Amino acid sequence: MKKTVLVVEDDKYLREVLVEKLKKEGFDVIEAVDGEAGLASTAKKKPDIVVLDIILPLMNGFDYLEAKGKDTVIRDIPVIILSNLGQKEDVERGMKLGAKDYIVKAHFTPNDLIVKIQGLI
Amino acid sequence: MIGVGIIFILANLLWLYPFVRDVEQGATRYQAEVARRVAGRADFFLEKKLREMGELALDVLEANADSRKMPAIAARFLGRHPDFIGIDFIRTASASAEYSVGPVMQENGRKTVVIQAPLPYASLAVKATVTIGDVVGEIAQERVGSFGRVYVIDRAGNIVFHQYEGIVNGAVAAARPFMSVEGGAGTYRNEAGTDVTGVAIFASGIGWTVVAEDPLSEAWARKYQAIRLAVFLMVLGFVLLMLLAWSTRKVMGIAERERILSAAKSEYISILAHQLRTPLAGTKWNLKTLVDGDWGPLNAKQKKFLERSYETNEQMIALVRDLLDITRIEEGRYGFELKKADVGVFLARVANDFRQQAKTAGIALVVKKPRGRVKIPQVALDAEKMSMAVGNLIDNAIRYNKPKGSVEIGYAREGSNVTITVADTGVGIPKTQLSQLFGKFFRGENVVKMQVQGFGLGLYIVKNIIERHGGSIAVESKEGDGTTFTITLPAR
Repeated sequence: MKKTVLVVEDDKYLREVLVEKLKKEGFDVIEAVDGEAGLASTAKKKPDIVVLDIILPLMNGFDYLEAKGKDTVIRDIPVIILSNLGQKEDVERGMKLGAKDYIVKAHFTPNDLIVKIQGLI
Repeated sequence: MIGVGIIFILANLLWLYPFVRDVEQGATRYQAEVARRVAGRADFFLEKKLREMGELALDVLEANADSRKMPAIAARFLGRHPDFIGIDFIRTASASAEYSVGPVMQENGRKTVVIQAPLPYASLAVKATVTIGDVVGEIAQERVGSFGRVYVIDRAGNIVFHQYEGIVNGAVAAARPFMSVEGGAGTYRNEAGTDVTGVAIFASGIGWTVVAEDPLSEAWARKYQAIRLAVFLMVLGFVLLMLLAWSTRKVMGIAERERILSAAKSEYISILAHQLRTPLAGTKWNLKTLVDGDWGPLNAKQKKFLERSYETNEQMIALVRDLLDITRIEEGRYGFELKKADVGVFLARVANDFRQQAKTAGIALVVKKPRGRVKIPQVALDAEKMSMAVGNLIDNAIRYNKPKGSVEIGYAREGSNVTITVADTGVGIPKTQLSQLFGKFFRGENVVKMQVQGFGLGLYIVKNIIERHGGSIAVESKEGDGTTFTITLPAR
């Protein structure tokens, strides 16, 4: 059975290439363009893993993680943060809020991400 | 700050108060001296007149107090003593030993007093009208400072003499509250409207009161100077305190503004860098999936040019990363967590990250242990930041090397320090440029010619990282022969 990945990313350019790549690698992909939509999709569709941007409209990635952590149904769905923010404190904050991994967009390739996803589900 | 101000003012009062008291007492002493002298002259005048009048006693006795002879005696006496204007003999009921001095009168433009004195051996008294011009003339010579005056009043308060021309002789002097029969001292506004300090001395013989007064502006001049000086000092002190407070605040203000500016600058660079990162990441991912053949196979040319685009994009990403690092370093926000570490283990791990790059470039990369049985002490490192610094040196050593060159990483103990060396057999750095090496955006002239990519931010970051470890970095280079960087870190 195909695994489902939720991509919460507001940048169309990045989202498209990532979605295409994930589909090519055999995942079912759901997309969300802001934090609120991402949280709604997480609750409704219960994906196997979430790839989460941090700087997002309506609700940022940190707030998403906090809200998700309070919901016992979706709390255990793993999240990989995929962000432009690469500072130590951002990484620490994300990990503290329950993210499984933290990737700085510009320093990783889609392949790296696939490997990480596969390692988590 | 207020405390300092109060202490300053109190310190001022500490010297001012005794000083002012001295000045006031000194002025009073001086005026009393003058007044006493004048009173002495007045009493002496009376004594002299009484003595002169005593001469009459013998004549009256010789004439047996014959009233017919009396006018002749008086005339003779008046002839001898020109300041006596008139003499009267009066019969007294009982011989009184007391003399008396009457009030001052004006007579034909002359000031006179009537002195009545008893004559011994006869129930007669002499009543003499005497001009006081002589004694007034003497008193007129007295001076109280340059602007002070002396004046004399009789028992009735009539002015006997006043040095102030505006005061009509014979007028009743204004009452001075401090004056009693014994005299006194005080300050008041005199008839000329001047504020003065005065001392009154009673000449008990003649029954006159002598007042020596001096305008406050003169008598207390030194007091006023002192007060002015004290006020000046206080104002000066206050102004200095204010200046100090102001400049402190200004300095703080400048520091605050610089902090805000710097924060704004770094915020700006930070936003810019993050904004750049998104399209750079997008480009990277698109190119990478294309190069990897995710969307179908590419021919050799397509692949080659896409790979070049990918490399260029990678350099842009590295530049953005360096810019962000520099912003954080300059702002002091680059958090350092120093932990004790074994230098040998640390260097081996950093070197491992470059094995592949060195191999690809055909460069031999070795970590050389110190010779002999030297125990290398641990050093305090932020492993992540120091890897970045040493890694940057290794990366440069590989990239700017000669074909089939080598990079040798060494470490040693030097006194209480540990040194780390990164030596290459590369192109070297021109001697003239060594001093600029650790500046921002420095790139060696020869390196630029080699067309090796770079932005010249690396060594600036390296130097900052090492300095934040309490260490230093030095470089030795010979153009064409290679370069050795030496990092010195304090052992812990």
